[in-house]
Amino acid sequence: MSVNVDIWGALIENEDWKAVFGDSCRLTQTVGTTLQTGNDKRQPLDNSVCLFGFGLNSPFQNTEFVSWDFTNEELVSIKPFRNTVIPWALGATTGTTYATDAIESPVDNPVWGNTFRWLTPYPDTAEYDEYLGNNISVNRYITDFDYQQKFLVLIRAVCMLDHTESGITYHYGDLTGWITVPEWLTSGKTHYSNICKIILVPKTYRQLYSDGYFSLFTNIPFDINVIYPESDPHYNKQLLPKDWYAYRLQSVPELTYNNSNYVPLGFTIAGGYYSNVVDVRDRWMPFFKPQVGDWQVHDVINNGVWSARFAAYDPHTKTNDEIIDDIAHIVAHMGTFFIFDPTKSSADNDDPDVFLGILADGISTGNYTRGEENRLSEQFDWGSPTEAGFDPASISDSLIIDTDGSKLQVPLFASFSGYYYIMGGSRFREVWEFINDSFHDEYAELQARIDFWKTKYDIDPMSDDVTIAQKAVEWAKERIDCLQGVTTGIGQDPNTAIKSILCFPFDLTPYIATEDGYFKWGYNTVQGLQDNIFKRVTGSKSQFWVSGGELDTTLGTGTYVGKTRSFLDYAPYTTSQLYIPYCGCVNIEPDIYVGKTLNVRYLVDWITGACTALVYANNDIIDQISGQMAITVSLSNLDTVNYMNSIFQGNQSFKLAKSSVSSVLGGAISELSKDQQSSLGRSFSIASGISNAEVALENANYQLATAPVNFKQIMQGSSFISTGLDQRVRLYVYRPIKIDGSEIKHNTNWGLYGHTTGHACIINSSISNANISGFCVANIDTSGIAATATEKEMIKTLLASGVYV
Amino acid sequence: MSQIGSGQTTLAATINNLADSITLLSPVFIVKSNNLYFTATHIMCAAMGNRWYFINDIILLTGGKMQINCSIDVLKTYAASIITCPACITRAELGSPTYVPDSKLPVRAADKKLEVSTFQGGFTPDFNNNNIIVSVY
Repeated sequence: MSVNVDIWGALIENEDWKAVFGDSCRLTQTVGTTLQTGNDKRQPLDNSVCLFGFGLNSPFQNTEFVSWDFTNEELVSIKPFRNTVIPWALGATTGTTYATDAIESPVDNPVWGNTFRWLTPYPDTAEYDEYLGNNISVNRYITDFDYQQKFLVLIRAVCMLDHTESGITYHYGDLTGWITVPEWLTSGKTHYSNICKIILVPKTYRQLYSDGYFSLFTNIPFDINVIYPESDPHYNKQLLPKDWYAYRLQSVPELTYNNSNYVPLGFTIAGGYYSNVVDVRDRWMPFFKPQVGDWQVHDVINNGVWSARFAAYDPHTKTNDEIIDDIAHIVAHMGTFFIFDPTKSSADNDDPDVFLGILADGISTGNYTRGEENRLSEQFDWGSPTEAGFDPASISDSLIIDTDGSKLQVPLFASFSGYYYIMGGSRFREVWEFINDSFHDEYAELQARIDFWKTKYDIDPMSDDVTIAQKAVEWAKERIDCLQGVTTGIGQDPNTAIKSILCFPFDLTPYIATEDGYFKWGYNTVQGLQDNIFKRVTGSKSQFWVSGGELDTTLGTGTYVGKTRSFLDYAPYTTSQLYIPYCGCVNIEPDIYVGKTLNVRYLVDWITGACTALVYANNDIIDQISGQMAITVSLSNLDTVNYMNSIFQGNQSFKLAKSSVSSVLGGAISELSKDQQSSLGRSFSIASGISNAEVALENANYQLATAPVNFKQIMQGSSFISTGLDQRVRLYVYRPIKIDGSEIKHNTNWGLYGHTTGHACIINSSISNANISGFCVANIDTSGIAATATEKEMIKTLLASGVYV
Repeated sequence: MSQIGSGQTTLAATINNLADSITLLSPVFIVKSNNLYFTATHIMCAAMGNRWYFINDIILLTGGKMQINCSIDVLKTYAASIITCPACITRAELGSPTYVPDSKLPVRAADKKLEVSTFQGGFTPDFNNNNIIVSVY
């Protein structure tokens, strides 16, 4: 099953509405993005409207619905929440007086019991069957949808015209299509029973507001791409366009602020009420407390809409995008708050089932709870039980179940006699605290962690490999912890935001230009980039150059020097390798490089960390060698253990690589001795001297520097291996030596060789002009000699075999 | 080994008698005995175009005569011409090897001396600084 980590909300229209209300029940195509699922009735959308977050940490991921028979006090069924679509259900406020005093307590103004504004889950009434359930009821996981990720931000669902309230003007753009929206909610006047059945809205509160509009404040997705049903045996994508089931998604195009008091965040906590909420502010704050500034739950009486909003942000200090980010972030974790409808008993007392949301995994029920056994159950942070008026152990059965069936009491707020609220569990608070502690300071924290690492771990990869491994693991763990923390805080799969994370084992600052900035990590603008830890890299978005340096002047002029100024400077007499950090050791042709200035530059792909070393002879690119410059932090599995293992493996490879160096050397020497030992009379005892791997490791550099044989490819470049090796480009030149073992230079005395054998040469000249005074071998044109033919042949033969001049 | 134009002892012999008909390349001279022939290496025969001959053998004859078997020394005879003729000299007594490969040069076939030179620049391993790149979409 896939998880819709990014489906944070969807306004779902049901086929039944079409059947009942005709086209008017549907949101028109002109508004929002229409996303359709298959028309198979087994598709997941039941007779409901869903406006929730489905983030990984949303309560929906852990919530089940309990169908409870209050008459018989027995459990009817427990259904997974994801098998359910939660409808918004709003009642109008007609005839209700609201207290807008922020400090008014619910006791003082117990409006909750008089006006029902709530959101109740409406589970499917059919038996759960993932694919083959009742073909009328919908029994498919709502999370059984694949999607093309583009996150949805639950902002605000508006079924009304632009208006201004509390200094905030809400612009909803073209709402033509939305005019019809209220109908399927308010049509209860004409299709009362259907509506009631559908969304469990108490009949008395499904009515059109007196101004002719039904206004709904709720959450809607902000943006979305296409949602596709996950494939299953019963699903045919070809039916998609014909289906009545649709996600209707609409964004609020604009919010203008002429008052800094409040910015509606769309947390329409149906079931809460302004005064009530205020009274329990401390309890709510851990959940809803905004990040900055004050908060307030606000009702919109005049528009006949009950809505709670949180003035979480000061628009002067936060941009709209930032607010949206934060909202999305919160919703992703917590979904939409929902509350059981305590009025059900009066409205639908013929229905014995009451659906309660609970949180599974023992986190909390938060909904239906009583008795001593639940005392320790996690709830909201109530402060003290008495303050909240809630103590599961103190609640009598009579307060919970009215045995006469005429009413239902589920007294979370026990002191609110007659008013019943059931809220989600403590997971919210837990999440919030995490967010509060970590999310908004995630990069500050990351910076702190890195600073900690910087000061604590003085990594010297050149010291010894064991230390490297240990430090690297600690180093990696620190970062992984951070990343996990951040990604958990965001509730996002890091893959959705991050292409790659590369750790370069050297300071990048000489090679890339950076600037202060930010980036979007999922939905969040990461502002921590202004510090010195993270900066936006400017310039190329895919690659950058790193200089590996030029051949230095230890051999003279910065060029690859031909030391003997003879054929001995070339292959096969002289061979060369170039050690290139992160790429390994490769053969290069001295024929090309002799006399040239060598230069090595790297072209680095900073998505993958792969590099290509370009070897220049003067200004010409001669060789290209691939390697890996950066250590890749696995994104596919941000798992510390695995990453630590990878680090260990890297270190192990480093060890093996060193060992392989020695074995290559030893093997090559042994092999060489078969062919050359007898003729050269040289003892290759060095081969046996490398038998001890440890000795070889310790003396790897020495052996590399003195090994008399070629090693063609010591290893492939690897970032972690390379960090343990020389970080500078090195040129290895294997020059021939004389038969007596002495070094050959340009002025080497070759003794009688020239006199007795003659140095090979090509001189096209007469012998006299060649100014040769010694031994000479030549082919000669004898046409100018007044001799017999036989004599001329004799002359040629003699000259070809060598003569003394 | 032949040598151009530098005979050890040259006897400018006068041909006063021929044993028989002779060849230009390998003449046989009958001369009056003279001990100088025993130390001479060449004979220059003006009558035969001033050719120089190696003294290959001497046969002492009766009657105070010597039979001297010779062979032509073309290098000595034509030295002046040879050194001026166009030639391609492929091996010479030079001071050091040239860029022309010389398989006879006494070097070890596989035993080499390694020289290591280090590039300027390079990397300084550093886990502590700004070395992390996070690529985002």
